Amino acid sequence: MHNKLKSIHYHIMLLPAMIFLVIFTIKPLLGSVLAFKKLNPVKGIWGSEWVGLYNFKVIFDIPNIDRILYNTVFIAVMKIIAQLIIPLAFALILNEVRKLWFKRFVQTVVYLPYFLSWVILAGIFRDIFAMDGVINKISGTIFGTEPVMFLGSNLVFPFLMVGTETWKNFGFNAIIYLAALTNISPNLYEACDIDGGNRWKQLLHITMPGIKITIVLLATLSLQSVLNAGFEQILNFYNPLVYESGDILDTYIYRMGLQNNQFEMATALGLVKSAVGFILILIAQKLAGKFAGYRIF
Amino acid sequence: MKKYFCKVVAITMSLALILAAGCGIKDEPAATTTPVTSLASEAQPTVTAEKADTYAKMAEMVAFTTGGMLPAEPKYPEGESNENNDILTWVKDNMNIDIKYEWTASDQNNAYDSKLNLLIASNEIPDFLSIGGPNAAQMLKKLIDADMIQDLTKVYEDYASPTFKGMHENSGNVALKSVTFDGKLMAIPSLSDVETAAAVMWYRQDMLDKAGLQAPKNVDDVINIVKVLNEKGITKNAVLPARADMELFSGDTATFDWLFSAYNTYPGMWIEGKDGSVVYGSIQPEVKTALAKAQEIYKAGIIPSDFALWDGNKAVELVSSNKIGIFQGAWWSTAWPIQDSMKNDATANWKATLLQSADGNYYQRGYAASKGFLVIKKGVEHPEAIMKLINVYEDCALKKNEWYNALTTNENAKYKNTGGTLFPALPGAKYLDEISRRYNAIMDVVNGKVKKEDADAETAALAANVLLEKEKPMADIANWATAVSWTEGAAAFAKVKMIQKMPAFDGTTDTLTKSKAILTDLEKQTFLKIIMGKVSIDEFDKFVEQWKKLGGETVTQEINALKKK
Repeated sequence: MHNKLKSIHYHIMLLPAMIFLVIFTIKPLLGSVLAFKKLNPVKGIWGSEWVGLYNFKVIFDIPNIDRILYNTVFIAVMKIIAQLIIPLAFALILNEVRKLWFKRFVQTVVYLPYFLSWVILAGIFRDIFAMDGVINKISGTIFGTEPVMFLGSNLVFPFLMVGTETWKNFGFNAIIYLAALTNISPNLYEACDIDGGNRWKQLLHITMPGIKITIVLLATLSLQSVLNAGFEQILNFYNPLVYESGDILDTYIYRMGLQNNQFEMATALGLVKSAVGFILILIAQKLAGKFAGYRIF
Repeated sequence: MKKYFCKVVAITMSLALILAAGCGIKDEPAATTTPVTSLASEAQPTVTAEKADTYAKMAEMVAFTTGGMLPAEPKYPEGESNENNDILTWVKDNMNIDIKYEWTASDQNNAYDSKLNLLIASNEIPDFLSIGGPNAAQMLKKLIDADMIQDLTKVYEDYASPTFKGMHENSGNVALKSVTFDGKLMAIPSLSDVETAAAVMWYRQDMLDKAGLQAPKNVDDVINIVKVLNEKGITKNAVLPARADMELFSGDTATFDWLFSAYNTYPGMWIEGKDGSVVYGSIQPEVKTALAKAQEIYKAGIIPSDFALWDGNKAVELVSSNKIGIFQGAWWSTAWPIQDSMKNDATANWKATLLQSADGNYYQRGYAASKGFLVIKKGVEHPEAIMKLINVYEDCALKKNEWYNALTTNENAKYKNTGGTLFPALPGAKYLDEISRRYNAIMDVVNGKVKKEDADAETAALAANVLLEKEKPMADIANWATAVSWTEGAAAFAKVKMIQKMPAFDGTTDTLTKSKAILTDLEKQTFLKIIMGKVSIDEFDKFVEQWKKLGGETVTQEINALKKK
């Protein structure tokens, strides 16, 4: 009891943040009912009539919904995998660098693209991958190939999306891994060295188990974005030629919504995405507990 | 322990109460925002005293709120703004109407439209509103469905000035019909300058001269020009700018309008078919011929191989950097992008023309008769005041009001360079073919047939621009842009008899709302694939079938049913 009384000021410090959270994140959740209504502006959200699952039905009645769902999941899963592996690999490699100033320098520079908006980056990448852009020009001069329309190719487009986003984000995720890596006691490395382990063995038996928890945590957290394939990015990159492979749930609803401000459908879609993400987190959490002995909640 | 627990519970509960109270006030939109002054107003307010005079000052001061659209950098004189200027003061003093701007939005990037959509969805529109732009018809329908605006039939009948009524009668009341639903006039429409939709081919006369070419008369000429200019090295690997970020056809710059119109086809529009019913332009058989031609052009490299990735800015880069000799724009293209081209090379000699189709006619698309209207919120009293405002503005636009001319267009006028819509009511053309008329009026003054003093103020001002340009060519690039937009751009269609196809339907239906995205996607993808040669031209027939199946047939039937009503 003595402890609890003493720590009450921590709770009070937390209070403003909690209030903020409730007002801006939890209370708006109540507005999710819009997904089950047909919005009549005069009656407002609360007075509009209930239409049950009508909005969800409209979404699933879209003719190429299976194609769109496939694109969404495909791109999202590729992104999750890439953004788990690459930052990890990069952090491991960077960790080996001895010169501290170089390490910090690289870390900062690599971290920067994370802050750029997709509007800017998409413009840059569009120029790079254009028919008369750098890639085509270099390839043409060195290998003598014909220019390829990367941004118009259904084959290349999803991978281009995954690649550019990984490039943008890996610096940020790597920092988390780097932090985890510093937590591993150097004594363990010394012990391994004495026992005759080379760098590879050290990596396998000390580093990886050491950051296992961080990896599991990040993997679990990233699972909830399996239906979130990156609306901003794709919106800035796509064009009708790549609808087949690049059109995701969000961009399609956006195009539908342009015609008629269909807030209800966007809300319904948001609910679906959240529900799926939530279920996946629960599953991942169970699996994490079972295999890595790690309990997040 | 218990004491501590109670404390926490107490604090939490009081917080919850505060929050709930806050929430409570917010969640009664409909109840509290209805203006106190109104009662369910099905009946129009009976005003007998002012019936005759459509310009009379209001008996008492009436106040209205509205929203304004501002250009990026409005240049108001010191100390003034769009909410505080001589024009609003005049209206207040002379008409007893007090206008307050609840908000303003930029005229860029559809900001005004987006704001309107939000306001409509949250039921917070001001007392009266000007609606315009490509989604105006849908917004109007939304407002009507949500029962947010009032019936203006009687207001128009009793209070529209003879001038205003005359303007609509001149055009067969087309605009009025387009905003009449169930026999009720739900908005006051302005007329759109339909001619602006024409696709004007702008070409470099100096380049053509060097190559010994004539001005283009039809599609094949255009192709030839691009080819020959390249062959002779006057341009290097030039292409005809094209893009696909908007529709492939929309009366703006670097679209395929020039091609489709020359074949008398109107994709993307609902038009009157041969049997008098409304049909969709993109599925007509003639479109197949036009697409085949486009396929040919793409193969020959006349349009860029990756045009599907281009947007407006990339397309006009070619123009401003003077790398090409011809492109498709509109009559006002001197303002953008040709002005940039002139800044880079002042010797460029741009001229404009319209293309003929195979049968010698000048076919072009047209806009809907009305692109802008003014609506009045339901429950607002004294709607006739707004109508009077429109009357006065109409006269101002016709340059009949000296006080307005003195403030806006005369020499050294206070608001000459302010930009934006100074008057809080909707602007509009006076005739559907206003541009040609204005062009002829200007040329009459320029050629001395009519004296400057006898022409209306706007014509006189524009004629002055033209004359100044003749005297001192390129002395001021803004002047050049204005002058040439008339002497070349407007001349292109004023000098010939243009046959414009107007949309037969310009709104939305239930099925159209649901299916528009799918149908548009299908259309855009098919057209692009055909033009780029990825599929054969026969894919067009499959497209027509699919379009009908995916809802197009239903929409067509719905539209025709609406028209019959």
